[in-house]
Amino acid sequence: MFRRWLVLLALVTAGIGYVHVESVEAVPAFARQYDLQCNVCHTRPPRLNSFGEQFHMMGFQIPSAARPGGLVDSLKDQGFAKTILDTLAFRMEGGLFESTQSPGETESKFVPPEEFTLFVTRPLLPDLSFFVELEAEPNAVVFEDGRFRTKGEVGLGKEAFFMANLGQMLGLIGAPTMQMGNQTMVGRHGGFNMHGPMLMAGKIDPSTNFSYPTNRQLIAATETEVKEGEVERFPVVPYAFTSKFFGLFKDRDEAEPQLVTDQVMYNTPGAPGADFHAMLNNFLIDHPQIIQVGFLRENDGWDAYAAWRVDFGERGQSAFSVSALINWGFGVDWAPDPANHARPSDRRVDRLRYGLAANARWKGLDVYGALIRDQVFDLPSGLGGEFDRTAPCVMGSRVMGKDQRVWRCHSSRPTFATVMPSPR
Amino acid sequence: MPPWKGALSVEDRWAVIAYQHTFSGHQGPHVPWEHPEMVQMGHDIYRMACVPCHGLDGRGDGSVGATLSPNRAPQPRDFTAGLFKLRSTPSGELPTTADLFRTVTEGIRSRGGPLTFGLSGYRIMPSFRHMPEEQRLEVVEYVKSLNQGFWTRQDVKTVPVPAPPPETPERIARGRQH
Repeated sequence: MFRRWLVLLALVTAGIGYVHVESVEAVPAFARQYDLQCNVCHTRPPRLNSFGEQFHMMGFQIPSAARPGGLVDSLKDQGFAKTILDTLAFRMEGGLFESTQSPGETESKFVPPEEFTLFVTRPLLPDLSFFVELEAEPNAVVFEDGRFRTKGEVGLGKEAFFMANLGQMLGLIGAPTMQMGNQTMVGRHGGFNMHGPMLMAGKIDPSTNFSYPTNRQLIAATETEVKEGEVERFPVVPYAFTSKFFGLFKDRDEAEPQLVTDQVMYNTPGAPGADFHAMLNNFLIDHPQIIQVGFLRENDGWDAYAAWRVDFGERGQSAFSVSALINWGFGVDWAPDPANHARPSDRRVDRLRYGLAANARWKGLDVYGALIRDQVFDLPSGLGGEFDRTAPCVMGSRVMGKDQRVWRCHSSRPTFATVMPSPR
Repeated sequence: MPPWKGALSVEDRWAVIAYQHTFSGHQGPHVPWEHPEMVQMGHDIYRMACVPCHGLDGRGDGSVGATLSPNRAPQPRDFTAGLFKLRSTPSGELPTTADLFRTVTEGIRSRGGPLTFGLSGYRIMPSFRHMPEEQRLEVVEYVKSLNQGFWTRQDVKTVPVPAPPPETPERIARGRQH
């Protein structure tokens, strides 16, 4: 009798979860692997607290307590079935009904789930782990034959990478190393020491260690909407991280537009590349720091970046971090043809992005913001107009028991652009 | 002085330290000031693993603790105040080294709230059982260094816990009745 009520309750709960618009973005595989509740690592998923950031930094392992035998030990201790099951997590994202209001149109419609994601992730060794998202989208927005359309797509999701601790390699070339929690640290106790450098390679979101990570937004999951081959509605995104400029193209052959709301460069939700990051202690200042360099493939070009983050606090139930970023994109977009703005020219443009971000947490309050400036170089002369390329964006949330309130603001509106003198 | 790691097990090394205490006339439990190098190493481990909940100064005021529901989970300890829930000593007394070691090894389980459906009973403090034993002891030494009581106590008394009574049908029936 009790079991029937339990099954009924589970079905009702699942039904409520299906209707609810917002998605839960913690990865329960980690909760099962480590026997931990979600709020050990998360404030409000997907936002990470300080311990969750450390957990990610350590390659998805408990800080200073990596399982020495990795996957082999898990198989021995827990058996094959449990190990495999604990490596997997499934997420279904979307709602049931959607209502849109605009000056020209009011629309309500049935909206089935729009994203199904299977997470496969776990440490393989104390110094090696992997994270893969496999995604199915029934109505993904794609650009084909010169038009935007929706079609079903299955494949890699936002991120798919391995993460390796290269500290041992530095030890092989003579750097002092020590073992802490079965992981290699460079340096000495009481003095300078470094965890890493960690190599994160594959399809990556490099901003995961930034004070304002791209993939950890508290934003309603509104997607790009297309109609009759054109974009009808842009998604809601933090505009500080977006392309910002109208008129640029991703590629020359297909002439796919770089949408003004595409999150690009260092702030990509996921792009092929390699990232090196390390956590430093007792380096110049008595606050933990994360330094980060890497490169990403973007459209027909690639970009290189460097970021630096300093953590303060962990006193009085508060924490504060500030990050700085510089990012150069080499030939990442195609300029429009001055004679026909609807077509790309034969010239690729460079993009410079730099800025600051900060995150402050105090009790249940979690406020984060970024000020990012973009400049586009090497545009053809003859293109006129002014554009706003500086985009501040501040977001915050407050967890108050079951009531979680989110505020957001948008950057200044981007307009059609461009005249930038080429530095070359 | 040669290193004895590898030559002696962790238990044997503690046994040597206990014997060494007899030379100084110190009869009480291990005190942090006798092992400053362990305290330093424990401090480094603490900074990597413990600060988010227990705070930079060990006052239990890390940023993570604030988001743990006080109704469902014990809050991160203020090590400087000397009030510990999980111990085998009488009320008002500090825990033993073994108590602290056990907490670090096992973590702490929590009831969880409605949103932890399916995860109820999972830990709110992680288990650090995969941390090498000597490093867990080093962290414990650092934690003890944060409270003067550990430095000055001379005597440790534990509460004897008797074996549980056997489960007999009569006892179960009486429990059901009540």
